[in-house]
Amino acid sequence: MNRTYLGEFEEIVLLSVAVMQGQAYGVVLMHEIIEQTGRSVKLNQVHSALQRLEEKGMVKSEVGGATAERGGRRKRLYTITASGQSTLQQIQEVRDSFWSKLTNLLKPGIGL
Amino acid sequence: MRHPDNYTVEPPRLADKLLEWLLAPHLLETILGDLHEDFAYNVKHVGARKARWRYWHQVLGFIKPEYIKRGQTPYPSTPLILPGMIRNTIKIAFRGLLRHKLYSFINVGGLGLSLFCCLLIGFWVRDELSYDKFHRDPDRIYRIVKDFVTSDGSRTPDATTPSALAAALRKDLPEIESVTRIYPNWNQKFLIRQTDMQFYEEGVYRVDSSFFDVFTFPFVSGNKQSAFQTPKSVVLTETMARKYFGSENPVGKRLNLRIDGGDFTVTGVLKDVPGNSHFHFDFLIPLRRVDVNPDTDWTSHTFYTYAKLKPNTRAARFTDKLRLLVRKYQPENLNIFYVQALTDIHLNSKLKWELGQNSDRSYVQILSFIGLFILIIAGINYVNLATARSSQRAREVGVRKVAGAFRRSLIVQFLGESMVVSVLSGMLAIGLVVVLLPFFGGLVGKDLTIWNRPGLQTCLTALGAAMILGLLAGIYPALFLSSFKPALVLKSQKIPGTRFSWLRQGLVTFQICASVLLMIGTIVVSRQIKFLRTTPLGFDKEQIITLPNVGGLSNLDALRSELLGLRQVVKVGAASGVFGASNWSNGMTKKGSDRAVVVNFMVVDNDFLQTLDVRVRQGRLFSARFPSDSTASLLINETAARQLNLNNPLGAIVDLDQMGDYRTVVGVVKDFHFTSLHNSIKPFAFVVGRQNLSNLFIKVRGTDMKEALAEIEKKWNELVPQRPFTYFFLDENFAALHRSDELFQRVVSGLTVLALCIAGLGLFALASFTTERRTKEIGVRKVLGASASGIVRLLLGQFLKLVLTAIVIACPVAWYIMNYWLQNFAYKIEMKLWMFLLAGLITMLIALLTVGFQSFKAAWVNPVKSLRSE
Repeated sequence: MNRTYLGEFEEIVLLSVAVMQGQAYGVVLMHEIIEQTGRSVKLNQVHSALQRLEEKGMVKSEVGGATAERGGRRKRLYTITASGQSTLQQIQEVRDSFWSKLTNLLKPGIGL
Repeated sequence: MRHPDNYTVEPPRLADKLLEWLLAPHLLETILGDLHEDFAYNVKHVGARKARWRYWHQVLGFIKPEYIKRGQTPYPSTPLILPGMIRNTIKIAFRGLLRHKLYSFINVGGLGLSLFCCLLIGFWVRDELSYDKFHRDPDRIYRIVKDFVTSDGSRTPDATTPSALAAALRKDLPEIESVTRIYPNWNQKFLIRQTDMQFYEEGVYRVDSSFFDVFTFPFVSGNKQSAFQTPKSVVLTETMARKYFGSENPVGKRLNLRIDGGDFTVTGVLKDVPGNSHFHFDFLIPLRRVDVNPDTDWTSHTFYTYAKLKPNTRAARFTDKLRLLVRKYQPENLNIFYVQALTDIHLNSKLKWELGQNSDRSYVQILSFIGLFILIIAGINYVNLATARSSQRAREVGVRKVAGAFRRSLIVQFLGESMVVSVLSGMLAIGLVVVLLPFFGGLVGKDLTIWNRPGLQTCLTALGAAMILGLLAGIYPALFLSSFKPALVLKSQKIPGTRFSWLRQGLVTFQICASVLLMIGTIVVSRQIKFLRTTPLGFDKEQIITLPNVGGLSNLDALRSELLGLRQVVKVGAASGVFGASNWSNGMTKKGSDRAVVVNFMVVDNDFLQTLDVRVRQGRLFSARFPSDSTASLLINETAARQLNLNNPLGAIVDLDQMGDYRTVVGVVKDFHFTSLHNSIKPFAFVVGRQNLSNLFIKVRGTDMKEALAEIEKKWNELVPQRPFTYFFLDENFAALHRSDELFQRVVSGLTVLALCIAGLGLFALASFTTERRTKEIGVRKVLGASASGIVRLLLGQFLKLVLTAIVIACPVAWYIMNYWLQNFAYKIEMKLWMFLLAGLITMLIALLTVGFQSFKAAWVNPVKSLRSE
């Protein structure tokens, strides 16, 4: 297997980017993750995760959408790439396969 | 809205500043945006105070290397130095030079001229500093000299040593590697004969055979082992070998020196003594004395002792041992011996009885300073012109920037331009030097060439210096010109650098200051040299022909009377020495006193003093009417009378040699300068004698020297056919004493004129640029009713202010420096106010001429013309 590995936090960020469908940028991602996971997340962590994901080719970004509360500064909007999606999928598959075994083990034995 | 003021709450400024300063530019915008958005959110939800606190918390999270590290720009980077761009820069520079001919002329010409001066000075200084460094291990060679101390404690630094010293040194001091003595000709002339030719030669030195162990004079043929195997060996230089033997190899041939019995055998030929040696010889013969053993004679101080010390010998320690050694052999000797490094002799040694005329360190220092000044003046011209020209370059800078030039590349461009100018001027300077160096060498009496290693090195150094100068002079204009904002210079008429900036004012002031300094220096030097030339010496040196080779002539009296019979001859006298060239000296004492005073003296005949018009103050001159004069009389000068403590000199009895040669003072002559005016007048005495009269002085009348000379030569050839006729003019001989001073004056005045030209050119160009830029202002002023004279005053005023400031600054500095220089002379001029005024006036005049011309031109232009141009 020669796919890129993702850290746990990176995976969460990537998931949130995927969920937000092109409207993802630093500060809203932070709020989303705080909301979804209940952890305390700092903006710099989100930014560095996004940078790493971009370097790995999981997300791509473009600038745009300045607002008044940003002081006229533009956002960097992130969207998930195909490779990001397939990575997420693979992760999910690996987990599913483990989970399927685990559910078998945890099932109460049915005697034949 | 619950919080109507949520937009007015700003995140902490300081935190933003911090991020703007630290964060990589490509990340800054989104991060700051996110932070601000979060802050707005927090203000809404938790309140401004807490939001601020959280803001700081968030901001500090970004202070990490990954956010600070600058990312790659999305644009392809342009290397600073790109062959294509360099070519372009050079091309643009040349186009610029061709388009602004005056500007280029002043820059390249001025810089080239100043570099040329510096190169000449460099050649000269290098030669001065290279004296005696051509020997092997020059830093281990020392000359042993002494302070001649008389019984009254007065000290005379003196280069000579007794001959026994070298032998004692060799025997007793293990630090000595080799030691040699030199016995120069002491103004004796050697008649050297070869079949069908004879010449008088002066450069005959007697030396020890260890001479070649101490010094390095390469042999052309022969070697140092075989050089002095017999006492009748002679080693001569290549030039002399050619003179006496033509193209044949002289080794093994005979040469008649007419001393020590005549025939000598040539044992070796040396390369000519380099010009940068502090002593010069043509012939070397073995040192030996008939009368006494030179290795034990401590009395006659007529030898020079040079020693090569073993490595790692400290000169100070050696001096201590040397003094102990002298004490051991000569417990009575009061003289204080010490050593001089060989390489120090030329610039630092000013002892009595030097082997040749030495130079002075102050010349080297002063000329180096002048060179530096001239370079700075030309450099300032460049800076001033480049910045003053900014209006012309501003559009170009604007267009280049709009087309995408970075400031960096503009800086490279402007530096490149200044390098082009400096390299061009460097080449101009080197070209000038190639052509003019031989003339300069002739002027300063040095054999200078660029076609050897030091010469080429000097040239390369100059080229390097030119480039560094170009870089230094280019930095400020490059930074200044490249800083223009394209929008500003392309749109508005307001061009930066229009005003006369403080920097340029400072530079111009400095420039004028340096010029004034040089000018005052030149005036003082010239006056001093004129003073030296015109000060009455106390005797008459004009129209006196000297025949220097009458020593030992049996028919001297006949010659004298025959010469007196000539129509042109007024008077004839003979003496043992020549004023300004040679005389003897002895420690003399008043009878009954044991306090010896060093007194210079000459043996003369009865007519000598009248011939040279030495005036008597008390008593009488020598006369044939007093037969006792030749054995018992003495004439002294006023200084001698004073120093010998003779209150009533006439009739006083003086011991001439502290050995009982008592003579009675029959007259006191007025003080006269018998040597250069660097020295104060020393005691002098005359005795009458028939022996040792080796110079004949002939006072001639009329202006036709040639005719007189021809007559004298005819008589000489009749009466003294066995000796060649040689002569010199006493006044020329005396003038030679101040030759290095006059040379210095000529060089300094030449350099000053050049420096003034360069500074004047710079001022002219600067004025033309500044007035050109004020054309419109002048037009408006005229339209509003300003008079032409008012405008001239306005334009001139700003320059004259600078000139005045410069003069005020320069005068005290010049006074200080020239005072230092004048200390070289025992007899010197006073620095007068008019010298400073004259220098100031000339500067003022130059400024008025250069700036005034421009101002008048600008002031008389019809305002219609200047205002219509828009």
